[in-house]
Amino acid sequence: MRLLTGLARRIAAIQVVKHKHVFVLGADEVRETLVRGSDFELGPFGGPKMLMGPFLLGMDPRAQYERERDLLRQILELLLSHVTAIAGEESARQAATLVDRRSLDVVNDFAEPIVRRVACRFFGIGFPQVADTRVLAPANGEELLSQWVRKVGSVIATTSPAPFGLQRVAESCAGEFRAYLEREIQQRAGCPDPKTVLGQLLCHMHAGELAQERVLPNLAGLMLAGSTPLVKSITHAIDQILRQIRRRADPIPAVLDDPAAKRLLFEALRFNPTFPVVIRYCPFAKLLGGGQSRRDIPDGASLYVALISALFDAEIGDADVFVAGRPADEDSSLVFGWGQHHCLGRYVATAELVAMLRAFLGLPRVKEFKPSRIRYDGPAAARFVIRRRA
Amino acid sequence: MTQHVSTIIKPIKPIYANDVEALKALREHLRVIGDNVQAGLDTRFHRIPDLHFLSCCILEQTKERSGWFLVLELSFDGDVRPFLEWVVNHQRATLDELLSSCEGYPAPGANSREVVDYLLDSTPAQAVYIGTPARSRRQIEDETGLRKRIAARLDKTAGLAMSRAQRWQDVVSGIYAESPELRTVPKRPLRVRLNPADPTVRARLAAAGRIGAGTILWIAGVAAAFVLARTAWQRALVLTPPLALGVWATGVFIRLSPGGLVRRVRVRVWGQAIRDGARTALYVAPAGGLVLAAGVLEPAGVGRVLLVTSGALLAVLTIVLSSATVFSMFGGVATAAAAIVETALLWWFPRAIVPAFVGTVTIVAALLFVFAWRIRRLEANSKVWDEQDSLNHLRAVTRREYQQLQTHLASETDIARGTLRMRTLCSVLRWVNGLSWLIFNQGHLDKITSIHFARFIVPPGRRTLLFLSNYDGRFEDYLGAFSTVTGVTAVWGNTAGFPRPFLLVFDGARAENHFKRYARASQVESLVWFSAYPNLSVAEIDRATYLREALAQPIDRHGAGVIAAVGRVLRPTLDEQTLVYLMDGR
Repeated sequence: MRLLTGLARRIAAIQVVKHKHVFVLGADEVRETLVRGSDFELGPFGGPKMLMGPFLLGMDPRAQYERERDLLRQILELLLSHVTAIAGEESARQAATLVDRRSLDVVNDFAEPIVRRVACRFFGIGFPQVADTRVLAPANGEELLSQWVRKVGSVIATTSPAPFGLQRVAESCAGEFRAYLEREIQQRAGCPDPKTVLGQLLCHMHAGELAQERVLPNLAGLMLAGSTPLVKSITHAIDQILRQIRRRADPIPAVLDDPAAKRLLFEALRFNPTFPVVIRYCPFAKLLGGGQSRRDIPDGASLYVALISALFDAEIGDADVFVAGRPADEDSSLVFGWGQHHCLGRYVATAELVAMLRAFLGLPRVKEFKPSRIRYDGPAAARFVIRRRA
Repeated sequence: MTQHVSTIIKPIKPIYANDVEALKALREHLRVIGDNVQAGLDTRFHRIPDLHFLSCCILEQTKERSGWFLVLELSFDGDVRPFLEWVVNHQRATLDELLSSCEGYPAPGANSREVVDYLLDSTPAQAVYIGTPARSRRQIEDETGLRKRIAARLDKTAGLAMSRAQRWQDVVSGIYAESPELRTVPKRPLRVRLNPADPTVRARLAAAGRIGAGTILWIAGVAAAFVLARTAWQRALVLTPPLALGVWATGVFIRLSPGGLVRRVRVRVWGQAIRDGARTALYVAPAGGLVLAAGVLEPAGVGRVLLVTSGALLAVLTIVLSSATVFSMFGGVATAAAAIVETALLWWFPRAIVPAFVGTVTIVAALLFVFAWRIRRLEANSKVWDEQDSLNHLRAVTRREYQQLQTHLASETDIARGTLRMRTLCSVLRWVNGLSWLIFNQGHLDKITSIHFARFIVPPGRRTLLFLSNYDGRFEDYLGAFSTVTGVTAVWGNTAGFPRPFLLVFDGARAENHFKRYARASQVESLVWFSAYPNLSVAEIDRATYLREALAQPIDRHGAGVIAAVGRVLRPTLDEQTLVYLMDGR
């Protein structure tokens, strides 16, 4: 995909095919598309997919949208230091269980357990019981929560309706997940813990800043957006780093502190982003781009915004080379998107990912791991086995 | 509800026509009625339930034009007779007041039937254009303000956390709760609903075409091929591609389906994968049959098929060409008869298709050449009107303008001398009428989007062309739009004094200022003019109907597959783009 989009980008930064499909490939053009959220909107790619009720992605962006976005941003900023500490603890705890393993499944043995435990403590909910589901067959409550989030969240990142039976399964899971969250909210409504997202939402609800019925969609929205993509991101980053090691590039810095780990993480995700392409919809005819790349975008066109191509644009020096220390952060990189739907929890996600990456790279003889192919369950990472070389 | 027009043109009694003062008094009397109607003091026309527009004017006698005539223009819903009977029974006094100066109008004591018969003896219009076809006055009134009401309801939900589809559903339920009568959506005529000039109809037709082509391909490639296959190997060839692809697709779908499910759900998901695999197989099923057909068909057979196809195409082309020529010269009935005869002849004598086609093309080309040569000579020798504007005339014809959104235009022009001119005009009007009925029924006549009701009439006993139009906006804008339309020159190019056309359709009205002055000079004062909705434009009426129809449409569920596609063709849905247009582009 990187090769194809790179070639296409060099021919033209915006390519219009049959007046219906527009491929946006240049970095500037990608940013412009994502910034102009009202011209190039989520449209059919957002609204119908929010099975847990309208969250930021599926809402008509009006006054309520702005209010809720500001509120969630405020909550996430407030809890950033707390989540950093939790993520560090949980990552270290999980890494300790993997020290002597000759092979491990990065998704199921490492990333998923960390993400769901952090999620429970950060969002302020307990784990469900296996009896809470009639659709899934999990081994325990922890796995059930992961599976619910994965199935329901996967629908957001696929075509509509989701293919291969995923839509129906996700709809069934959404019903169960909703019932579980309603119970959790009810239990905690009396004495909300302000150190958790749910507690904060409930506090704002009691203060009259958030309607009661909006607590669940916002909590579920943050959980869906902040769980499955995190597992996918850390899996992609680890895969990329191990591949670089196999190419004898040795990207792991000598001193792996937080800033160094963050730079490494962003470089790895640049080579293998969580969402290589995002889709937008153009309801009315518009102009996009400047200079020679300027194009008419027909009304009703679908825009395929190729982040994977923009991340290798000429604006990045020596873009094809993996540079572990390349300066990057949440606000300048396209890894977390851009513009109106720039990931709201990018600071929280970065903190969690950095903690996980540091814990993984802290495993003894980590360079001996040999990666296999990542397996997916829909768009979510389902399995990624790595083995030490004999 | 079908709309109709009726134009009653009656000679004025000699007692008025020969007395300047009496005529002046009649004119003044009608003008007062018109003023009261326009000021809202006289509401009797409003009480005629199906009446859209009414106007009354007087055609003057001049050197070239014989006699004085009173013209009563009516545009209404339903059939002519029931409408006129209603008017005669309920508004007899009004009719007496308007038409008592006309020759032959029954005396005040005469029975209703006599008056109805008198009114039914009207002058048929050569061409009629209706901007809002099949929209009854009741419907237009019901739908008035719908746009604002939808906007108000959308504003109510603007601050709520809802998706676009949810907000639209809220609008639908709210509007239906307030106005249950809007639930029933009057159907537009088939010619309007299936007009390819409408982009949504084009999209539906294209989708239907794709489904039809797929069906034909399937029948030819699978059903027919399987029945006609002679050996087991041939049958296997027909069945192998879909079976192989179906099995492969099912395997892929099962592999990609979500994991971690309980057995009951897993079986259901796999069942869906098998169905999806079978559906994929159905798409490629014709391939085997077509390969088989290509292998067994002989070159002679292929040649025969090609010959028959090209012969049929030639026949269609011949019939279309000759029908268009007959229609231009003799009208609809003759065209239908000629087309039937020609089709029958070509069916009986299929070998005559090539000579018939060549003969038709030659005759049409020759006729066109002779016509162009004659008409160009007439155009070159025609005298172009260029007289001083009369201020009194201008004052009279403009006094009803600018007082509301809509305006009325009555214009009378002399038809140029010669039979060719008259026949050309009739021919052009025939085309205008036909195209207005068949193609321009989407709220615009070519590029003109402001006409509610318009008609062209050649009045009896006068060699003139009378044009009556009820339109939106100002005279200058209306005529400005006219000047860019080819058909305008084709019509008025046959009248005396019109800016000189070139080969009937070029130049002419493009001399915009000259054209506007000519139109003003030919304008007749509208003494009485009534509009049931004087401040509604065609676009507003059209938009309101569109919104009402959209309220009844389901929201698209993004279903995939043939059944969903057929469903969308049969019953259009509101896709995301339409929702954006309805909610943000309103």
